Amino acid sequence: MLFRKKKEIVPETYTEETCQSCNEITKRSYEEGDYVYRSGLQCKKCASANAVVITAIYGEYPEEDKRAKV
Amino acid sequence: MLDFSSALSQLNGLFGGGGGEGLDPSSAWMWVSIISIAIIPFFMIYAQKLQSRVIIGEISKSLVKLKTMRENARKEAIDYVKIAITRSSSKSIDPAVGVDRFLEYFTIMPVDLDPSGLVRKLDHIMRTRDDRVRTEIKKLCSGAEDKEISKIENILEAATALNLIYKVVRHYYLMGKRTTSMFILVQLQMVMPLLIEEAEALQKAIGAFKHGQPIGDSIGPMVVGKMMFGKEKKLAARETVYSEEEYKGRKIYLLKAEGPSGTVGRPGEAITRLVGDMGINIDIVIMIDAALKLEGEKTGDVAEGIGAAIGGIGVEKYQIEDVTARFNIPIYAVIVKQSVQDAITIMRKEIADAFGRVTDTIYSVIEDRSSEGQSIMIIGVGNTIGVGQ
Repeated sequence: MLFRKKKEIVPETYTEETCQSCNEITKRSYEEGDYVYRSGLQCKKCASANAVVITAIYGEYPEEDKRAKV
Repeated sequence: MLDFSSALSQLNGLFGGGGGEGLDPSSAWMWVSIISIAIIPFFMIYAQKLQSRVIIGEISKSLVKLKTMRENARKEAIDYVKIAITRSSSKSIDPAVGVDRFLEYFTIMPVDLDPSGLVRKLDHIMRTRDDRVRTEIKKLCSGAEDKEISKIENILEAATALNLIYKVVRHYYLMGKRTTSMFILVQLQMVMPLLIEEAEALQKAIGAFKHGQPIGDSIGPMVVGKMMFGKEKKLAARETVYSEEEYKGRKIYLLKAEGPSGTVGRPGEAITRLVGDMGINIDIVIMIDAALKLEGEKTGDVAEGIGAAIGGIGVEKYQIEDVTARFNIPIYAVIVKQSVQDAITIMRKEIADAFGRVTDTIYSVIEDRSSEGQSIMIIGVGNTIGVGQ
């Protein structure tokens, strides 16, 4: 619509973790205090202590916005 | 009194009447013709004034939007500083006065009439500014950690930029309104969408800085941070660290700002110290940075080139170019394309996904451009907020 107000799109923020022991990659919602290459977390799959490292933190926009961005 | 009938008869003649079938004063069509003709001189005189009114109205709406953004940014900065004060000293001081003083803080650039030694003077002024800002923040929330202070510094910088955009737009708006100068108003109207876009990005950036999340500009430090992970880190310059590693018979020096604080470090000073002062023999330098994409290009595209890939005021770029030229070291650049908005707001998935491609490109540059026994320096350029090493 011509006069429709532009809707503000807020991205969902995710944290990606990788286990150094079993290479399992998990994606979860971002939590306060997370930062990339923060280590010392326990793997939920192989239960190795201090093996999980945060490898990425990113914002994911809805599909609709991605199409508009291209 | 004006003889209206004679004027009509003249018009009648003008429109080819005279044969008894001319303009009829009782005809509606004749009045439409008269009004249409009369409107032309009216618009010739008042069109610009009307257009000015429309433009002033549009700019005024955008100005209100900018004012709201500025107020929100100021409020967010005050709230964050308040929380930081409470966390560090369990005191409750109102930091509003201190924050307002920051918003009006300015830096005077050195005189460029004589360009010789300009970068040195610029470097001196920027360092003084950084030190002053940091000292003031430390005074404002005494006892706060360095990470917290760097976050506040970034938030205040974004809020100051928003304040400046608002004040400059308001200045030209009022000036255009006072002088009813179309030249000022039209120029302001034309740049307004870009300014609003930039202001919106700055407002979103405050959110990312508050939470300490990586931004699009953090891709360089993120790539080098992964290479440094688990290795010994040594201080190369203020807020800048380096590590050493081996790759296929080559010695690799990895350099980035010390994370996860919101800082860009001092890569120029670091390379000067390592190569110039400490005499480390470097054969090639590879720089990774975020770069502005052109409209139509995809966010997260990776490109390879030559030259010092680093933004900012130019001091760091000068220092890197100076050292590399002095020691005849080639500089290769790997960039990740993104918009200004993407660069200062939370890292988009498309940029994070470029991580693997950037790493592959770096290793292929190392293999193609160097031989065994040589030394390579890889610099991750950008704000390392939310990215450790």
